[in-house]
Amino acid sequence: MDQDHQNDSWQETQDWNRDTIYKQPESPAQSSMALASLVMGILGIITSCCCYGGLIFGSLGILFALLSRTEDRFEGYAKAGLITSSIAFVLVVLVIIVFLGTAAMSGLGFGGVFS
Amino acid sequence: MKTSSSELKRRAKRTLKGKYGFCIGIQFIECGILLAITLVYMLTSFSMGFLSEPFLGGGRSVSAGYVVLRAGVYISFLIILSVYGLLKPGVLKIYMNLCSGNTAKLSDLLFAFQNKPHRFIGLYFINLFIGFAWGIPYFVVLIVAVVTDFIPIMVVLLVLMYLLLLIGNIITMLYLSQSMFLLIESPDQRVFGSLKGSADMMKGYKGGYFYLLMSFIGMVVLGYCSMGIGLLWAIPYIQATITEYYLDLKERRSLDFPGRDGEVSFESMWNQENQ
Repeated sequence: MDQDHQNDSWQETQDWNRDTIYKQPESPAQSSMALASLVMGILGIITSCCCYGGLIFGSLGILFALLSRTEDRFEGYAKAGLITSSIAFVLVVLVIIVFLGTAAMSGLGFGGVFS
Repeated sequence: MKTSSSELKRRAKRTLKGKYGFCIGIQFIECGILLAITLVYMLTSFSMGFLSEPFLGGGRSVSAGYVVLRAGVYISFLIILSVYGLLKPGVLKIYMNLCSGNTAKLSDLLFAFQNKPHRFIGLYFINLFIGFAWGIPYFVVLIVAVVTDFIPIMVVLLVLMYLLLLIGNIITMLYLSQSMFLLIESPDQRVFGSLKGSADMMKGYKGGYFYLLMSFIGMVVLGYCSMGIGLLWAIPYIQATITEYYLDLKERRSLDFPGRDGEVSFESMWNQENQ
């Protein structure tokens, strides 16, 4: 009986402590520029099949990520934006290489410079 | 102790946080004014039939009216340059206010128009002239090379003169880089005084400033990759970092030479109080 009473009081104290002391951890405020960087990175990946889109959005994404870094570390969104923008940039370079390669191959198919 | 360039950049980013819209707006206004004046100049010149030969005489008969109109074209060109030379201090004043924690207003753009404009125009034209003067040996050698049909010695000389033009301009630019800030802070100061002050300030700091400027190359390349859109954000950032550099340098010098800050004229104190 006494044991039960002790458990109940301990439980009440715990509940009280949880209600009063425990707070939801506040997520650090992310800057809008970091978010813009992420959006630009995603848009860059989507539009990387057409060279200019990927190039424009990719470089804007990298720029925004760099400008959003006001402390020693990158924010979460900025880090993600930097990665996605870099991927967009790499994809654009690959698309350009494939495009040039295809153009060169089609040129060779017609006999190249010796036709 | 020297402040690292990364710390200056961090300060600039913190300053600009949430103020990019204002800075981009300032850029648009500045470019809009210059574009409008240039367009008026071009249209006027074109309508007068001077655009085809604005600098060379051609086969026209020289009359008094013709000379007057041609002089008008040259003067309006100088006016465009002057307006640019007067808007630039206004932009710098805005960045100085932002970086030192004061409220920046749009009316600051006209700072140079209200505070001894002749001094700001003078400083701008002196800077232009110095840049041009470094190019004189190059142009002389170029003319001689054209006359001598580019003989090897002239080609070598041409390359050397080009290097002289480049290096000379960079070194002069580094020496005189703070002159505009100095003149903005005390417009009653003489133009040559601000040039001398800038040269004094930059003694021992030219390498660091050059490194700081070079570190923006990546960002400018990214700006151009985005078809110039990125430059809307990159230019305020570069401008704010340069302003932070000036403020940091001034603070460091006031610690090194405590007496120098005391030499403030009555006029600049009056201006500060009435702002």
